[in-house]
Amino acid sequence: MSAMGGDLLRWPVIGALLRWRHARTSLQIVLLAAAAAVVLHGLFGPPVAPANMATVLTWVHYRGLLVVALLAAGNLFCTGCPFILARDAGRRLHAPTRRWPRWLRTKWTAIALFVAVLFAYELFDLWALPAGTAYLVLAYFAAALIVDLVFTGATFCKYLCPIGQFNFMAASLSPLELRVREPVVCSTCRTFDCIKGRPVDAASGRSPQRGCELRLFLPSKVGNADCTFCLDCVQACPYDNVALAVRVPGAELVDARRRSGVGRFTERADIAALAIVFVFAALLNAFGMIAPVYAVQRWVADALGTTSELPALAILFALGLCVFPLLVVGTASGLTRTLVGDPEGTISRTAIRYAYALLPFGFGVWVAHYGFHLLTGVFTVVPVAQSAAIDVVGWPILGLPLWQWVGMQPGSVFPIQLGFIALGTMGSLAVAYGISERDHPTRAMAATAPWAAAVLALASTAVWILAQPMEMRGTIFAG
Amino acid sequence: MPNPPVVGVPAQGTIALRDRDRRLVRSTDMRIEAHMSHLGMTPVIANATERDDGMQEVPLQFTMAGDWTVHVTGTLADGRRLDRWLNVPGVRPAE
Repeated sequence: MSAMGGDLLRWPVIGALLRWRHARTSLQIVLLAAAAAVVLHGLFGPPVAPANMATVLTWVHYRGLLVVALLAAGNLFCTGCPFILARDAGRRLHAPTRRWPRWLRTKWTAIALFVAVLFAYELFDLWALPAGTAYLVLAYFAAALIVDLVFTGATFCKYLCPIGQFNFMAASLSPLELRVREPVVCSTCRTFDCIKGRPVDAASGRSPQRGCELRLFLPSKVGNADCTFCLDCVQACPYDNVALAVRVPGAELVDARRRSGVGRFTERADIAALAIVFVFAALLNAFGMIAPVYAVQRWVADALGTTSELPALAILFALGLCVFPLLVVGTASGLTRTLVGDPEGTISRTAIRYAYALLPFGFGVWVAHYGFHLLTGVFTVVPVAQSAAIDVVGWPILGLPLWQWVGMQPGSVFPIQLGFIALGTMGSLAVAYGISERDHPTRAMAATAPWAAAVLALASTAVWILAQPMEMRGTIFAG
Repeated sequence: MPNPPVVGVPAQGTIALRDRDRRLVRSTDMRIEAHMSHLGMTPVIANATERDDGMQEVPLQFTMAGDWTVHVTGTLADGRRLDRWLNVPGVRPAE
Protein backbone atom coordinates (compact mmCIF):
# COMPACT_ATOMS: atom_id res chain seq x y z
CA MET A 1 0.00 0.00 0.00
CA SER A 2 1.88 3.03 -1.17
CA ALA A 3 -0.67 5.51 -2.51
CA MET A 4 -0.76 8.65 -0.39
CA GLY A 5 -4.50 8.83 -0.69
CA GLY A 6 -4.84 5.60 1.28
CA ASP A 7 -2.94 6.70 4.40
CA LEU A 8 -4.20 9.59 6.50
CA LEU A 9 -0.83 9.84 8.22
CA ARG A 10 0.56 11.01 4.89
CA TRP A 11 -2.11 13.64 4.29
CA PRO A 12 -1.17 17.29 4.57
CA VAL A 13 -2.04 18.92 7.89
CA ILE A 14 -4.11 15.98 9.21
CA GLY A 15 -1.16 13.63 8.90
CA ALA A 16 1.17 15.96 10.73
CA LEU A 17 -1.42 16.50 13.43
CA LEU A 18 -1.98 12.77 13.95
CA ARG A 19 1.75 12.07 14.02
CA TRP A 20 2.33 14.82 16.59
CA ARG A 21 3.52 13.19 19.79
CA HIS A 22 0.88 14.99 21.85
CA ALA A 23 -2.05 14.54 19.48
CA ARG A 24 -3.80 12.00 21.65
CA THR A 25 -3.17 13.94 24.85
CA SER A 26 -4.61 17.08 23.29
CA LEU A 27 -7.83 15.30 22.39
CA GLN A 28 -7.95 13.69 25.81
CA ILE A 29 -7.66 17.09 27.49
CA VAL A 30 -10.64 18.36 25.49
CA LEU A 31 -12.75 15.38 26.53
CA LEU A 32 -11.48 15.66 30.11
CA ALA A 33 -12.77 19.23 30.18
CA ALA A 34 -16.11 18.02 28.85
CA ALA A 35 -16.18 15.28 31.49
CA ALA A 36 -15.46 17.87 34.18
CA ALA A 37 -18.36 19.98 32.93
CA VAL A 38 -20.59 16.92 33.00
CA VAL A 39 -19.62 16.02 36.56
CA LEU A 40 -19.72 19.52 37.99
CA HIS A 41 -22.96 20.61 36.36
CA GLY A 42 -24.48 17.21 37.00
CA LEU A 43 -23.78 17.44 40.70
CA PHE A 44 -24.28 21.16 41.26
CA GLY A 45 -26.45 22.38 38.39
CA PRO A 46 -30.23 22.30 37.99
CA PRO A 47 -31.70 18.82 38.50
CA VAL A 48 -33.58 19.12 35.23
CA ALA A 49 -32.31 17.05 32.32
CA PRO A 50 -32.94 19.51 29.46
CA ALA A 51 -31.17 22.27 31.41
CA ASN A 52 -28.10 20.39 32.59
CA MET A 53 -24.78 19.86 30.80
CA ALA A 54 -24.45 16.38 32.28
CA THR A 55 -27.48 14.97 30.56
CA VAL A 56 -27.34 17.07 27.42
CA LEU A 57 -23.63 16.54 26.70
CA THR A 58 -23.70 12.85 27.58
CA TRP A 59 -26.96 11.50 26.18
CA VAL A 60 -27.33 13.80 23.19
CA HIS A 61 -23.91 14.94 22.06
CA TYR A 62 -21.48 12.29 23.31
CA ARG A 63 -23.56 9.32 22.16
CA GLY A 64 -24.39 10.95 18.84
CA LEU A 65 -20.87 12.14 18.05
CA LEU A 66 -19.53 8.74 19.11
CA VAL A 67 -21.44 6.90 16.39
CA VAL A 68 -20.80 9.64 13.84
CA ALA A 69 -17.06 9.40 14.48
CA LEU A 70 -17.13 5.60 14.22
CA LEU A 71 -19.06 5.81 10.98
CA ALA A 72 -16.93 8.54 9.43
CA ALA A 73 -13.48 7.68 10.71
CA GLY A 74 -12.90 5.22 13.50
CA ASN A 75 -12.58 4.75 17.22
CA LEU A 76 -11.79 8.41 17.90
CA PHE A 77 -13.47 8.47 21.28
CA CYS A 78 -11.12 5.79 22.56
CA THR A 79 -8.32 7.90 21.12
CA GLY A 80 -9.46 10.81 23.25
CA CYS A 81 -10.57 8.80 26.27
CA PRO A 82 -10.24 11.01 29.38
CA PHE A 83 -10.37 7.98 31.69
CA ILE A 84 -7.04 6.81 30.30
CA LEU A 85 -5.56 10.27 30.72
CA ALA A 86 -6.39 10.05 34.41
CA ARG A 87 -5.03 6.51 34.51
CA ASP A 88 -1.76 7.57 32.89
CA ALA A 89 -1.40 10.30 35.47
CA GLY A 90 -2.03 7.77 38.21
CA ARG A 91 0.63 5.44 36.82
CA ARG A 92 3.23 8.15 37.32
CA LEU A 93 2.61 7.66 41.04
CA HIS A 94 2.05 3.90 41.11
CA ALA A 95 3.10 1.46 38.42
CA PRO A 96 1.00 -1.71 38.18
CA THR A 97 2.73 -5.04 38.48
CA ARG A 98 0.05 -7.70 38.06
CA ARG A 99 -1.25 -9.19 34.86
CA TRP A 100 -4.97 -9.69 34.32
CA PRO A 101 -5.78 -13.33 35.18
CA ARG A 102 -5.67 -15.60 32.17
CA TRP A 103 -9.14 -17.06 32.81
CA LEU A 104 -10.60 -13.53 32.64
CA ARG A 105 -8.95 -12.66 29.32
CA THR A 106 -12.21 -12.92 27.43
CA LYS A 107 -15.08 -10.56 26.68
CA TRP A 108 -17.58 -12.24 29.01
CA THR A 109 -17.03 -9.79 31.88
CA ALA A 110 -17.21 -6.86 29.47
CA ILE A 111 -20.49 -8.18 28.07
CA ALA A 112 -21.94 -8.35 31.56
CA LEU A 113 -20.81 -4.80 32.29
CA PHE A 114 -22.19 -3.55 28.96
CA VAL A 115 -25.58 -5.05 29.74
CA ALA A 116 -25.40 -3.73 33.31
CA VAL A 117 -24.85 -0.17 32.10
CA LEU A 118 -27.75 -0.42 29.65
CA PHE A 119 -29.92 -1.91 32.39
CA ALA A 120 -29.00 0.83 34.84
CA TYR A 121 -29.72 3.43 32.17
CA GLU A 122 -33.25 2.08 31.78
CA LEU A 123 -33.93 1.29 35.43
CA PHE A 124 -32.77 4.61 36.85
CA ASP A 125 -33.72 6.73 33.81
CA LEU A 126 -30.17 8.06 33.73
CA TRP A 127 -31.00 10.18 30.70
CA ALA A 128 -33.24 12.25 33.02
CA LEU A 129 -30.86 12.37 35.99
CA PRO A 130 -28.02 14.88 35.84
CA ALA A 131 -26.58 13.69 39.15
CA GLY A 132 -26.94 10.05 38.15
CA THR A 133 -25.12 10.76 34.92
CA ALA A 134 -22.36 12.52 36.81
CA TYR A 135 -21.96 9.55 39.16
CA LEU A 136 -21.78 7.21 36.16
CA VAL A 137 -18.92 9.26 34.71
CA LEU A 138 -17.16 9.29 38.07
CA ALA A 139 -17.62 5.54 38.35
CA TYR A 140 -15.95 5.11 34.97
CA PHE A 141 -12.98 7.20 36.07
CA ALA A 142 -12.71 5.23 39.29
CA ALA A 143 -12.97 1.87 37.56
CA ALA A 144 -10.34 2.69 34.94
CA LEU A 145 -8.01 4.07 37.59
CA ILE A 146 -8.38 1.20 40.03
CA VAL A 147 -8.09 -1.58 37.46
CA ASP A 148 -5.17 -0.10 35.55
CA LEU A 149 -3.23 0.86 38.66
CA VAL A 150 -3.30 -2.80 39.67
CA PHE A 151 -3.01 -4.55 36.31
CA THR A 152 -0.56 -3.85 33.54
CA GLY A 153 -1.32 -2.90 29.97
CA ALA A 154 -4.71 -1.58 28.95
CA THR A 155 -6.62 -4.11 30.99
CA PHE A 156 -9.63 -1.87 31.53
CA CYS A 157 -9.91 -1.07 27.84
CA LYS A 158 -9.43 -4.60 26.56
CA TYR A 159 -11.42 -6.65 29.07
CA LEU A 160 -13.84 -4.40 30.93
CA CYS A 161 -14.82 -1.02 29.48
CA PRO A 162 -18.41 -1.19 28.18
CA ILE A 163 -17.94 1.85 25.95
CA GLY A 164 -14.75 0.31 24.58
CA GLN A 165 -16.47 -2.95 23.66
CA PHE A 166 -19.23 -0.99 21.90
CA ASN A 167 -16.55 0.93 20.00
CA PHE A 168 -14.59 -2.20 19.07
CA MET A 169 -17.69 -3.80 17.55
CA ALA A 170 -18.77 -0.65 15.74
CA ALA A 171 -15.23 0.09 14.53
CA SER A 172 -15.41 -3.04 12.38
CA LEU A 173 -17.59 -0.83 10.15
CA SER A 174 -15.23 2.15 10.23
CA PRO A 175 -13.42 3.29 7.08
CA LEU A 176 -10.01 3.64 8.75
CA GLU A 177 -7.64 1.08 10.23
CA LEU A 178 -4.15 1.22 11.68
CA ARG A 179 -2.04 -1.29 9.79
CA VAL A 180 1.42 -1.93 8.46
CA ARG A 181 2.39 0.21 5.46
CA GLU A 182 5.01 -2.07 3.85
CA PRO A 183 5.07 -5.66 5.20
CA VAL A 184 8.61 -6.24 3.93
CA VAL A 185 9.89 -3.60 6.34
CA CYS A 186 8.41 -5.50 9.29
CA SER A 187 9.97 -8.75 8.10
CA THR A 188 13.42 -7.35 8.87
CA CYS A 189 12.49 -5.71 12.17
CA ARG A 190 14.07 -7.31 15.23
CA THR A 191 13.04 -4.83 17.93
CA PHE A 192 9.22 -5.12 17.59
CA ASP A 193 8.79 -1.62 18.96
CA CYS A 194 5.13 -1.46 17.90
CA ILE A 195 4.22 -3.90 20.67
CA LYS A 196 7.21 -3.84 23.02
CA GLY A 197 7.70 -0.12 22.98
CA ARG A 198 10.87 1.84 22.59
CA PRO A 199 13.17 2.54 25.53
CA VAL A 200 14.92 5.84 25.98
CA ASP A 201 17.60 6.36 23.35
CA ALA A 202 20.69 7.95 24.91
CA ALA A 203 22.32 8.68 21.57
CA SER A 204 19.43 10.51 19.96
CA GLY A 205 17.78 11.66 23.16
CA ARG A 206 14.43 10.24 22.12
CA SER A 207 12.16 9.71 25.06
CA PRO A 208 10.69 6.26 25.70
CA GLN A 209 7.52 5.30 23.89
CA ARG A 210 5.24 2.51 24.95
CA GLY A 211 4.02 -0.08 22.49
CA CYS A 212 0.49 -1.36 22.04
CA GLU A 213 -0.99 -1.90 25.47
CA LEU A 214 -3.75 -4.07 23.99
CA ARG A 215 -1.16 -6.56 22.67
CA LEU A 216 -1.82 -5.96 18.99
CA PHE A 217 1.33 -6.78 17.00
CA LEU A 218 1.05 -4.72 13.83
CA PRO A 219 2.38 -7.26 11.30
CA SER A 220 -0.36 -9.70 12.32
CA LYS A 221 -3.03 -7.19 13.35
CA VAL A 222 -6.26 -7.67 11.42
CA GLY A 223 -9.08 -5.15 11.58
CA ASN A 224 -10.08 -2.82 14.40
CA ALA A 225 -10.94 -5.31 17.13
CA ASP A 226 -9.42 -4.17 20.43
CA CYS A 227 -7.76 -1.19 18.75
CA THR A 228 -8.24 2.03 20.69
CA PHE A 229 -6.58 4.18 18.00
CA CYS A 230 -4.15 5.31 20.69
CA LEU A 231 -1.47 5.79 17.98
CA ASP A 232 1.24 4.38 20.29
CA CYS A 233 2.30 2.06 17.46
CA VAL A 234 2.69 5.05 15.13
CA GLN A 235 4.92 6.79 17.65
CA ALA A 236 6.90 3.65 18.50
CA CYS A 237 7.73 2.30 15.04
CA PRO A 238 11.31 3.34 14.23
CA TYR A 239 10.71 2.82 10.51
CA ASP A 240 7.61 5.00 10.22
CA ASN A 241 5.86 1.95 8.82
CA VAL A 242 2.42 2.29 10.37
CA ALA A 243 -0.40 3.70 8.26
CA LEU A 244 -3.88 4.92 9.14
CA ALA A 245 -5.27 3.23 6.09
CA VAL A 246 -8.53 3.81 4.27
CA ARG A 247 -10.34 0.50 3.81
CA VAL A 248 -13.69 -1.07 2.93
CA PRO A 249 -15.93 -0.82 6.02
CA GLY A 250 -17.00 -4.20 7.31
CA ALA A 251 -14.70 -6.23 5.07
CA GLU A 252 -12.77 -7.44 8.14
CA LEU A 253 -15.89 -9.27 9.34
CA VAL A 254 -15.31 -11.89 6.64
CA ASP A 255 -11.63 -12.23 7.46
CA ALA A 256 -10.95 -15.53 9.23
CA ARG A 257 -7.23 -14.97 9.76
CA ARG A 258 -5.77 -15.17 13.21
CA ARG A 259 -5.69 -11.65 14.63
CA SER A 260 -2.86 -10.56 16.89
CA GLY A 261 -4.08 -10.11 20.44
CA VAL A 262 -7.52 -11.45 19.52
CA GLY A 263 -7.26 -14.82 17.80
CA ARG A 264 -9.69 -15.95 15.14
CA PHE A 265 -13.15 -14.40 15.22
CA THR A 266 -14.51 -17.76 14.09
CA GLU A 267 -13.18 -19.39 17.27
CA ARG A 268 -14.10 -16.70 19.79
CA ALA A 269 -17.52 -17.48 21.23
CA ASP A 270 -17.22 -14.50 23.58
CA ILE A 271 -16.63 -12.01 20.79
CA ALA A 272 -19.46 -13.54 18.78
CA ALA A 273 -21.69 -13.15 21.85
CA LEU A 274 -20.55 -9.55 22.20
CA ALA A 275 -21.51 -8.93 18.57
CA ILE A 276 -24.95 -10.45 19.14
CA VAL A 277 -25.52 -8.42 22.31
CA PHE A 278 -24.37 -5.28 20.45
CA VAL A 279 -26.97 -5.89 17.75
CA PHE A 280 -29.94 -6.83 19.88
CA ALA A 281 -29.18 -4.17 22.47
CA ALA A 282 -29.57 -1.63 19.68
CA LEU A 283 -33.13 -2.81 19.13
CA LEU A 284 -33.85 -3.06 22.86
CA ASN A 285 -32.49 0.41 23.61
CA ALA A 286 -34.65 1.94 20.88
CA PHE A 287 -37.65 -0.17 21.90
CA GLY A 288 -37.37 1.25 25.40
CA MET A 289 -38.45 4.67 24.20
CA ILE A 290 -41.76 3.81 22.56
CA ALA A 291 -45.25 3.34 23.92
CA PRO A 292 -45.62 -0.44 23.42
CA VAL A 293 -42.80 -1.14 25.86
CA TYR A 294 -44.87 0.41 28.62
CA ALA A 295 -47.73 -1.85 27.74
CA VAL A 296 -45.39 -4.83 27.93
CA GLN A 297 -43.90 -3.69 31.24
CA ARG A 298 -47.36 -2.98 32.66
CA TRP A 299 -48.53 -6.45 31.63
CA VAL A 300 -45.50 -8.11 33.20
CA ALA A 301 -45.87 -6.05 36.37
CA ASP A 302 -49.54 -6.94 36.66
CA ALA A 303 -48.76 -10.60 36.10
CA LEU A 304 -46.13 -10.49 38.84
CA GLY A 305 -48.30 -8.43 41.14
CA THR A 306 -45.73 -5.71 41.62
CA THR A 307 -45.35 -1.98 41.07
CA SER A 308 -41.56 -2.15 40.88
CA GLU A 309 -39.96 -1.63 37.50
CA LEU A 310 -37.05 -3.97 38.25
CA PRO A 311 -38.59 -7.39 37.57
CA ALA A 312 -40.45 -6.23 34.46
CA LEU A 313 -37.31 -4.63 33.07
CA ALA A 314 -35.25 -7.70 33.90
CA ILE A 315 -37.67 -9.89 32.01
CA LEU A 316 -37.63 -7.50 29.07
CA PHE A 317 -33.84 -7.60 29.01
CA ALA A 318 -33.81 -11.38 29.27
CA LEU A 319 -36.22 -11.62 26.37
CA GLY A 320 -34.45 -9.01 24.30
CA LEU A 321 -30.84 -10.04 24.90
CA CYS A 322 -31.13 -13.79 25.46
CA VAL A 323 -34.35 -15.43 24.29
CA PHE A 324 -34.94 -13.42 21.13
CA PRO A 325 -31.31 -13.57 19.94
CA LEU A 326 -31.10 -17.28 20.66
CA LEU A 327 -34.23 -17.85 18.61
CA VAL A 328 -33.11 -15.74 15.68
CA VAL A 329 -29.48 -16.78 15.58
CA GLY A 330 -30.20 -20.38 16.50
CA THR A 331 -32.87 -20.77 13.84
CA ALA A 332 -30.73 -19.17 11.14
CA SER A 333 -27.75 -21.30 12.14
CA GLY A 334 -29.78 -24.49 12.10
CA LEU A 335 -31.27 -23.72 8.71
CA THR A 336 -27.86 -22.88 7.26
CA ARG A 337 -26.45 -26.13 8.55
CA THR A 338 -29.33 -28.04 7.01
CA LEU A 339 -29.30 -26.22 3.68
CA VAL A 340 -25.56 -26.70 3.10
CA GLY A 341 -25.66 -30.32 4.19
CA ASP A 342 -23.20 -29.95 7.04
CA PRO A 343 -24.18 -32.72 9.45
CA GLU A 344 -20.88 -32.53 11.37
CA GLY A 345 -21.12 -28.85 11.96
CA THR A 346 -22.84 -27.67 15.12
CA ILE A 347 -25.40 -24.94 15.45
CA SER A 348 -23.16 -23.08 17.89
CA ARG A 349 -20.18 -23.24 15.53
CA THR A 350 -22.31 -21.87 12.70
CA ALA A 351 -23.71 -19.18 14.98
CA ILE A 352 -20.22 -18.07 16.02
CA ARG A 353 -19.09 -17.84 12.39
CA TYR A 354 -22.16 -15.91 11.23
CA ALA A 355 -22.79 -13.67 14.27
CA TYR A 356 -20.57 -10.96 12.82
CA ALA A 357 -22.84 -10.68 9.79
CA LEU A 358 -25.39 -8.94 11.99
CA LEU A 359 -23.01 -6.16 13.04
CA PRO A 360 -23.62 -3.79 10.10
CA PHE A 361 -27.37 -3.90 10.74
CA GLY A 362 -26.88 -3.42 14.49
CA PHE A 363 -24.60 -0.46 13.93
CA GLY A 364 -27.18 1.00 11.55
CA VAL A 365 -29.76 0.89 14.34
CA TRP A 366 -27.40 2.51 16.84
CA VAL A 367 -26.59 5.27 14.35
CA ALA A 368 -30.29 5.76 13.57
CA HIS A 369 -31.15 6.00 17.26
CA TYR A 370 -28.28 8.08 18.61
CA GLY A 371 -28.18 10.11 15.43
CA PHE A 372 -31.83 10.99 15.95
CA HIS A 373 -31.15 12.43 19.39
CA LEU A 374 -28.09 14.28 18.15
CA LEU A 375 -29.84 15.83 15.16
CA THR A 376 -32.99 16.78 17.06
CA GLY A 377 -31.06 18.17 20.00
CA VAL A 378 -27.76 19.38 18.57
CA PHE A 379 -28.29 23.02 19.54
CA THR A 380 -29.52 22.34 23.07
CA VAL A 381 -25.95 22.72 24.30
CA VAL A 382 -26.20 26.46 23.56
CA PRO A 383 -28.97 27.42 26.01
CA VAL A 384 -27.64 24.93 28.56
CA ALA A 385 -24.21 26.52 28.38
CA GLN A 386 -25.76 29.99 28.57
CA SER A 387 -27.76 28.94 31.63
CA ALA A 388 -24.73 27.33 33.25
CA ALA A 389 -22.73 30.52 32.70
CA ILE A 390 -25.42 32.50 34.50
CA ASP A 391 -25.28 30.01 37.39
CA VAL A 392 -21.52 30.41 37.65
CA VAL A 393 -20.99 34.09 36.92
CA GLY A 394 -24.32 35.49 38.09
CA TRP A 395 -25.18 37.35 34.92
CA PRO A 396 -25.87 36.35 31.31
CA ILE A 397 -22.28 36.52 30.11
CA LEU A 398 -23.19 34.36 27.11
CA GLY A 399 -26.60 35.94 26.67
CA LEU A 400 -30.01 34.89 27.89
CA PRO A 401 -30.66 31.18 27.29
CA LEU A 402 -32.18 30.49 23.91
CA TRP A 403 -34.26 27.54 25.08
CA GLN A 404 -36.06 27.36 21.75
CA TRP A 405 -32.76 26.33 20.11
CA VAL A 406 -33.09 22.57 19.76
CA GLY A 407 -32.31 21.00 16.38
CA MET A 408 -34.03 19.35 13.46
CA GLN A 409 -37.65 18.35 13.56
CA PRO A 410 -38.16 14.64 14.31
CA GLY A 411 -40.14 14.19 11.13
CA SER A 412 -37.20 15.44 9.09
CA VAL A 413 -34.84 13.00 10.75
CA PHE A 414 -36.94 9.90 10.11
CA PRO A 415 -35.84 9.47 6.46
CA ILE A 416 -32.22 9.73 7.59
CA GLN A 417 -32.85 7.02 10.14
CA LEU A 418 -34.40 4.80 7.49
CA GLY A 419 -31.34 5.40 5.36
CA PHE A 420 -29.00 4.13 8.05
CA ILE A 421 -31.19 1.08 8.68
CA ALA A 422 -31.11 0.37 4.95
CA LEU A 423 -27.34 0.80 4.75
CA GLY A 424 -26.82 -1.45 7.73
CA THR A 425 -29.15 -4.06 6.31
CA MET A 426 -27.34 -4.11 2.99
CA GLY A 427 -24.05 -4.35 4.82
CA SER A 428 -25.24 -7.34 6.80
CA LEU A 429 -26.49 -9.06 3.66
CA ALA A 430 -23.12 -8.50 2.03
CA VAL A 431 -21.18 -9.78 5.04
CA ALA A 432 -23.46 -12.82 5.38
CA TYR A 433 -22.82 -13.68 1.76
CA GLY A 434 -19.10 -13.11 2.19
CA ILE A 435 -19.02 -15.53 5.13
CA SER A 436 -21.00 -18.06 3.10
CA GLU A 437 -18.57 -17.76 0.19
CA ARG A 438 -15.71 -18.29 2.61
CA ASP A 439 -17.17 -21.28 4.47
CA HIS A 440 -19.50 -22.87 1.90
CA PRO A 441 -18.21 -21.77 -1.50
CA THR A 442 -20.30 -24.28 -3.44
CA ARG A 443 -23.56 -23.45 -1.64
CA ALA A 444 -23.10 -19.79 -0.75
CA MET A 445 -26.59 -18.65 -1.71
CA ALA A 446 -28.27 -21.43 0.24
CA ALA A 447 -26.10 -20.76 3.28
CA THR A 448 -26.88 -17.05 3.14
CA ALA A 449 -30.64 -17.37 2.77
CA PRO A 450 -31.55 -17.93 6.44
CA TRP A 451 -29.35 -15.02 7.51
CA ALA A 452 -30.80 -12.79 4.85
CA ALA A 453 -34.27 -13.62 6.12
CA ALA A 454 -33.19 -12.92 9.70
CA VAL A 455 -31.62 -9.59 8.79
CA LEU A 456 -34.67 -8.49 6.80
CA ALA A 457 -36.96 -9.47 9.67
CA LEU A 458 -34.80 -7.53 12.12
CA ALA A 459 -34.76 -4.57 9.75
CA SER A 460 -38.55 -4.61 9.60
CA THR A 461 -38.62 -4.64 13.39
CA ALA A 462 -36.23 -1.70 13.51
CA VAL A 463 -38.30 0.33 11.05
CA TRP A 464 -41.45 -0.43 13.06
CA ILE A 465 -39.74 0.69 16.28
CA LEU A 466 -38.47 3.91 14.75
CA ALA A 467 -41.90 4.68 13.30
CA GLN A 468 -43.60 4.47 16.68
CA PRO A 469 -44.33 7.70 18.54
CA MET A 470 -41.92 8.23 21.40
CA GLU A 471 -43.32 8.19 24.87
CA MET A 472 -41.02 9.09 27.62
CA ARG A 473 -41.28 7.41 30.97
CA GLY A 474 -44.79 7.48 32.23
CA THR A 475 -45.64 7.05 35.87
CA ILE A 476 -46.86 3.46 35.96
CA PHE A 477 -44.09 2.42 38.32
CA ALA A 478 -43.63 3.76 41.78
CA GLY A 479 -39.93 2.86 41.93
CA MET B 1 -57.21 21.49 32.26
CA PRO B 2 -57.52 18.79 31.06
CA ASN B 3 -55.81 17.06 33.95
CA PRO B 4 -53.80 15.06 33.18
CA PRO B 5 -53.01 16.77 29.88
CA VAL B 6 -53.43 14.80 26.67
CA VAL B 7 -51.18 14.93 23.62
CA GLY B 8 -52.53 17.16 20.91
CA VAL B 9 -55.43 18.47 23.01
CA PRO B 10 -55.24 22.20 23.79
CA ALA B 11 -54.67 22.61 27.50
CA GLN B 12 -55.08 25.59 29.77
CA GLY B 13 -52.54 25.94 32.54
CA THR B 14 -53.23 28.09 35.54
CA ILE B 15 -50.37 29.42 37.65
CA ALA B 16 -50.64 31.18 40.95
CA LEU B 17 -47.61 33.00 42.29
CA ARG B 18 -47.83 33.42 46.03
CA ASP B 19 -45.57 35.01 48.62
CA ARG B 20 -44.85 33.60 52.07
CA ASP B 21 -48.19 34.93 53.32
CA ARG B 22 -50.01 33.14 50.53
CA ARG B 23 -50.92 36.38 48.83
CA LEU B 24 -50.99 36.41 45.08
CA VAL B 25 -47.98 38.07 43.46
CA ARG B 26 -48.43 39.67 40.10
CA SER B 27 -46.02 39.15 37.27
CA THR B 28 -45.53 40.66 33.88
CA ASP B 29 -44.21 38.90 30.81
CA MET B 30 -44.53 35.42 32.27
CA ARG B 31 -43.29 32.88 29.76
CA ILE B 32 -43.59 29.13 29.76
CA GLU B 33 -41.16 26.75 28.10
CA ALA B 34 -42.32 23.17 28.40
CA HIS B 35 -39.56 20.62 27.79
CA MET B 36 -39.98 16.94 27.22
CA SER B 37 -38.23 15.02 29.98
CA HIS B 38 -36.15 13.39 27.33
CA LEU B 39 -33.51 15.57 25.81
CA GLY B 40 -33.45 17.05 22.39
CA MET B 41 -37.18 17.44 21.90
CA THR B 42 -38.62 20.72 20.68
CA PRO B 43 -40.03 22.66 23.64
CA VAL B 44 -43.53 24.11 23.72
CA ILE B 45 -43.29 27.84 24.29
CA ALA B 46 -46.17 30.07 25.34
CA ASN B 47 -46.75 33.42 26.99
CA ALA B 48 -49.02 33.62 30.01
CA THR B 49 -51.82 36.13 30.40
CA GLU B 50 -52.55 37.64 33.77
CA ARG B 51 -56.23 37.56 34.82
CA ASP B 52 -57.91 40.24 36.81
CA ASP B 53 -57.61 38.13 39.97
CA GLY B 54 -53.84 37.84 39.57
CA MET B 55 -53.80 34.26 38.35
CA GLN B 56 -51.77 33.50 35.24
CA GLU B 57 -53.28 31.55 32.38
CA VAL B 58 -51.19 29.92 29.71
CA PRO B 59 -52.32 27.90 26.71
CA LEU B 60 -50.26 24.77 26.11
CA GLN B 61 -50.48 21.87 23.72
CA PHE B 62 -48.19 18.99 24.57
CA THR B 63 -46.68 17.20 21.60
CA MET B 64 -45.57 13.96 23.21
CA ALA B 65 -46.77 11.64 25.92
CA GLY B 66 -44.75 11.17 29.06
CA ASP B 67 -43.13 13.44 31.62
CA TRP B 68 -42.55 17.11 30.94
CA THR B 69 -40.65 19.83 32.76
CA VAL B 70 -41.91 23.40 32.57
CA HIS B 71 -39.59 26.38 32.82
CA VAL B 72 -41.41 29.45 34.12
CA THR B 73 -39.80 32.86 33.76
CA GLY B 74 -41.07 36.35 34.21
CA THR B 75 -40.74 39.61 36.08
CA LEU B 76 -42.41 40.09 39.45
CA ALA B 77 -44.15 43.30 40.42
CA ASP B 78 -41.14 44.38 42.46
CA GLY B 79 -38.79 43.92 39.55
CA ARG B 80 -37.25 40.63 40.60
CA ARG B 81 -36.83 37.92 38.00
CA LEU B 82 -38.85 34.75 38.31
CA ASP B 83 -37.11 31.55 37.23
CA ARG B 84 -38.62 28.20 38.26
CA TRP B 85 -38.73 24.66 36.96
CA LEU B 86 -41.92 22.64 37.50
CA ASN B 87 -42.74 19.03 36.72
CA VAL B 88 -45.77 18.03 34.68
CA PRO B 89 -45.72 14.25 34.78
CA GLY B 90 -47.86 11.79 32.92
CA VAL B 91 -49.07 13.62 29.83
CA ARG B 92 -51.36 11.01 28.29
CA PRO B 93 -51.09 9.81 24.73
CA ALA B 94 -53.72 10.90 22.26
CA GLU B 95 -56.85 8.72 22.33
